[in-house]
Amino acid sequence: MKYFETLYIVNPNFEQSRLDTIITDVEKNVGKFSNILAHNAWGKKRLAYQIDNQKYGTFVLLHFETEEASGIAGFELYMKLNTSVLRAQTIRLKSRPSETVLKKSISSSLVDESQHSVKEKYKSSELREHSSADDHSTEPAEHENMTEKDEGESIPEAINTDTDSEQE
Amino acid sequence: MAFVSKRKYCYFKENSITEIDYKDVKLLRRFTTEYGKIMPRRVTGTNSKMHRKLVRAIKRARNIALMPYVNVESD
Repeated sequence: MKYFETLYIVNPNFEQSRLDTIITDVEKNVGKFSNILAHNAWGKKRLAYQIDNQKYGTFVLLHFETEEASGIAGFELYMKLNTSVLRAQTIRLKSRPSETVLKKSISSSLVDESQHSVKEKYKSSELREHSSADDHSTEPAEHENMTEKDEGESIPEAINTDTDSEQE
Repeated sequence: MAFVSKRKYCYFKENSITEIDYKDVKLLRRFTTEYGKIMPRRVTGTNSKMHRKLVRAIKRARNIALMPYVNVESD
């Protein structure tokens, strides 16, 4: 059995009833050739970049299993031609997704960005955005270059740090 | 040289992570610059096997608009 995962973005301006019809349509299409394991809407989320002039999108995650993967091409074409779907991405999974993954209707890592298990030990990305980790990891290379080129001059370094802080 | 570098380590090896999920944006953000570029292995210290998986995950996240290709505003 082969396992697949599709994440697609629906136009955010649709009301719930229209979203439901889209989800059922997708389910019908996938159901032709496969067995659906889970189908969950994440809800409205800001996109990293605009797609079709939309800043937000309703994310829907679909898990399914199938014996022959030949139906995937048709499904991907259907998603591409579906005008209410802004974007879709289907990925082959190596193994059957665990029950916790399937049950988790709303991905904790995305919507409720607080439940990552290893995050407590290390700096969160939010912290990094504000200041530290990124600077620590990228600056060494820059500083090395600086000192090679402008030995004895402290001014370029000072400028460099200033611009860094401004960017933050 | 006055500069003493911090010991680099593979984040995934330390935390015994073998698979990287493209939906885990919070994790992936650690390995991109504020402009959205993937940081090189020589900077992050990730081992090559995991770096390949990481790159794939980041590119998938970019494709589905979970992560930016270019982050000019750096929000």
